[in-house]
Amino acid sequence: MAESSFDSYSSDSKPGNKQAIKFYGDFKIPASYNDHKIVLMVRDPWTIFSYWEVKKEIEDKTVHEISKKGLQIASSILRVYDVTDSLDELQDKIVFDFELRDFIDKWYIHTHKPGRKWMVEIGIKCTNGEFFPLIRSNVVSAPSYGMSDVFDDKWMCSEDLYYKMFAMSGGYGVGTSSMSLKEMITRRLKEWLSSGGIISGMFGSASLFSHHKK
Amino acid sequence: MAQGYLALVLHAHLPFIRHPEHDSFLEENWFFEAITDTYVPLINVFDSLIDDNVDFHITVSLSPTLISMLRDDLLISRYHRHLDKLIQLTELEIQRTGYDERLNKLAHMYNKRFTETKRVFADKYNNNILTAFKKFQDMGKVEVITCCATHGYLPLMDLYRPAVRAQVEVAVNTYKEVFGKGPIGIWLPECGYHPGHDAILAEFGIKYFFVETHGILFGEPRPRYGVYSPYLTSSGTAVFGRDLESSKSVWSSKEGYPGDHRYREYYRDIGFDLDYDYIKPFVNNCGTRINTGIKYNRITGENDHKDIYNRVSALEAAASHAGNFMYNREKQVEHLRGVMDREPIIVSPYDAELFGHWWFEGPEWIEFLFRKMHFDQDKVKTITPGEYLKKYDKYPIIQPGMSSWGYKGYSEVWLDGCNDWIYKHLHKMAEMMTHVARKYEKPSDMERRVLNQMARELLLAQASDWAFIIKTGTFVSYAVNRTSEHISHFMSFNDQLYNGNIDVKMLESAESHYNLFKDIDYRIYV
Repeated sequence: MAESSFDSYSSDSKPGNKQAIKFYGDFKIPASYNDHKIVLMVRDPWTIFSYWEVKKEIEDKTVHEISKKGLQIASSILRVYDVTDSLDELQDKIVFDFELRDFIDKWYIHTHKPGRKWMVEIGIKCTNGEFFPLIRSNVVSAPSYGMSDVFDDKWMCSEDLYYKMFAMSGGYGVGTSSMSLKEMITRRLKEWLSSGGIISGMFGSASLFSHHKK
Repeated sequence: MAQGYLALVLHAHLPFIRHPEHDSFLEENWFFEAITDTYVPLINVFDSLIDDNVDFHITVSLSPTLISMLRDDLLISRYHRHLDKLIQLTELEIQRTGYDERLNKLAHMYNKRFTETKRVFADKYNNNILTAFKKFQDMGKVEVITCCATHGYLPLMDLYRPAVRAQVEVAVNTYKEVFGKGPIGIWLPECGYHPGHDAILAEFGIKYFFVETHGILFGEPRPRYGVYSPYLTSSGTAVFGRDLESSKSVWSSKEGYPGDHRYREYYRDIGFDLDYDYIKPFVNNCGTRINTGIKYNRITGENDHKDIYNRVSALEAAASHAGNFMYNREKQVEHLRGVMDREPIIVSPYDAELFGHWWFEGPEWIEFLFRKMHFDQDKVKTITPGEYLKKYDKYPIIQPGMSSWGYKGYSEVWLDGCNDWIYKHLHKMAEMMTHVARKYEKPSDMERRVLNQMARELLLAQASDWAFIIKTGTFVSYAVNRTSEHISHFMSFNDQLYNGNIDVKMLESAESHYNLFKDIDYRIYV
C-alpha cells in the first residue's frame, strides 16, 4: 500500500528548496511531498485516474537489485490489474502495461469496462519480461453501467414493468413497452450522458460563475 | 385527492468569497447579484403565496458557505453599497431613457425593483434573510436542507473518509446555529454520490439525499419504481432520484422554457452596452465593464438583433409555461399511477440561481406554478422529501451507483487534465489534517487556533467550485489562486506547528480573512 510521510514534509518545504516549490497563481505550493505513494481514483465507469510520487532511493535500490541479478531494464511501467474477483495471483490479472516516459506523474486509464475493481502498480520491467514493483495503489470500484440483474424478492414485479419504470425514468413515455427497450434505453442514456446530460447546453451546474454563452 | 406529488428542490450555493483587503472585489458581486436576482425574489414569492393562503411545499438547500456570507457584517454592508449604487444608476437611467417610452418604463421597473429589494432585505428581514427561510420552514412551507461545508465534491474525496465526514459535520453544525435543529436532508454537492457516504449522513441524523437519475436506475437491486419513489440505503438514509423529464423542461436553455424569445436576454446588459464614461462609476473599480443587472432586451431569436423587453408579454410566457409544466406533471402522474401501486413523487432539483439570475422570470414562474397547482387541479400536490417519507412504512432498499449531475454524469468536470493537479494536494492535506488532529490531544490555546485554521483552509481548498471554474475556463486565475492560497496557508501552518514557531500575525490575518465556521473544532478529523 502507498506509503506517505507527514512531518517529514516540513523539512522539504523550507524556502530555498526550489525543487519542492511550485508557483500556482500568486502562491507557492509544494511540487512534491517526498512521499512514496500512488493513488487511484474513479472518474467514470470507463475511466480511472492515477497520480504518484516515487522515492528516488527506493527506485535506486530496485535498480541495484535488478543489476545484481544480471537483468536489463526495459522501461518503467504503470501496470493495471483487474482485481474484481480477488487480490490473489495478480500475475493473471494484468490488463494493461503502460510505458512511462520521463517526468510523468499521472495517468488516465480507459478501461472500457464498467463495474470492475482496479488496482495499479508502478514498477520496472526488464527485457526478459520480469517486473519489479515499486509501489502499489489502493483498490477502486468503478460503477456499473446499465440496469442491474439483481432483484429484491420483496419488491418484485414483472420484467415488463421494470422496463416501463426504467423507460419513464429515462424520459420515455409509458406507451413504449417491449423487452427491446432495455437496449434502447441503455443506449439512449449513454448518448444522453455522453453528450453531457442535462447540463450540456444549459445554464450550468454551479451558480453564477458557470454560465456557457448560448 | 392527489394521485402523485411534485418535489421542487432549489439548491442555493456560492463559494466563500470575501476580500476585506480590497475596498471592492469583482467576484464578491456574484453574492450581491444572487441576493438581488434570486434570493430576495424567491422570498417575495413565498411571502406572497403565504399571504394569499396558497398551499405550497418546496425544498431549499442553503450551502454553509452561502449561510456564512449571509451572516457576515462586512459583506452585508458592501451589499448595501452595491444596492445603493444600483438604485442611483436606475435614477440616471430614468432620466437618460426619457426619449423612449418602452425603455423608460423598464428603467422605472428596475428602480422600483431595487428599491423594493432594499426594503425587503434591510427593513423587513433586518439584513438577515436567513430569518425568512427559518420563518418559511417553521410554517411548514419550505424544507430547508443543508449541503456540504464548502461544497466539497465527495466522490473524489472518498479515499479520505474523515475529510468526507468533516464536510458533513461542519455543515450540520452550521445549519443548527441558524435553524436551531439538525437538517433533515442534504444536497450533496453536484449531486455527487459515492457508495458508502450515506452511512456518514446517517451518523449525523440526516434522513435523505438526492442522486442523479442513473444513480438510481443503475443501482442494485433493480429499482422497482424507477426514480418515482425514494429508496432506503443500507444505512437507513433515504435516497431520491432526479426526474429527467421535468428537469429538462426548465434546465435546457434551448428546449426548455427559459429560452423563450419573450423572456429577458441575459447577455445584453447596460454595463457593456452604454458609453464607457457614463457607466464607469457603476462598474468595477479597476474600470472593467461588468454586468449591472439592468437589461432592456428580450431573447428575440438566435441572431444579434434583440428587441426591447416587454414585461407583460414575458409574464404571460411565464404563466403559460407554468401551466404547461403543471399539465405535463398531471399527465406524468396519470401514467405513473397506471404502473405503480403507490403514489409517485417527481423530484425536480435546480440550482436556485437559475431562477431570477439566469432566467429573470423564473421566480414568477414558480409563483404561477404554485398558484395554478393550488387552484386549478388536485391531481398533483407539491411536497417535500421529508413529508413524503412519512407516507409509507416501507420503502425498497437500494445501493445507488456512483454518479453526479455534472457533464456526462460522473466526475469528469472535476477530474480533468486542467484541474487534476489539485487532488495530490487536497489528499495530502486531508492525510496531514487527520495526522495532526490525532497528534494534538491537548494543544495550547495558540496551537488549537492553528489547528482550527488548518481545518478551515482544508475545507476551503476542497470547494468543488475551484475545479469547476478551472474546467469551464472563466475566472480561472481566481480559482487557481484560491486553491493555491489555501494549500499554501495550510502547509505553512503545519510547518509552524511542527517547528513550534507560530506566526501570530499570519494566524490572525487568516482567521479574520476566512472567518467562516467560527466554532470549528479540528478534532472532527480525528
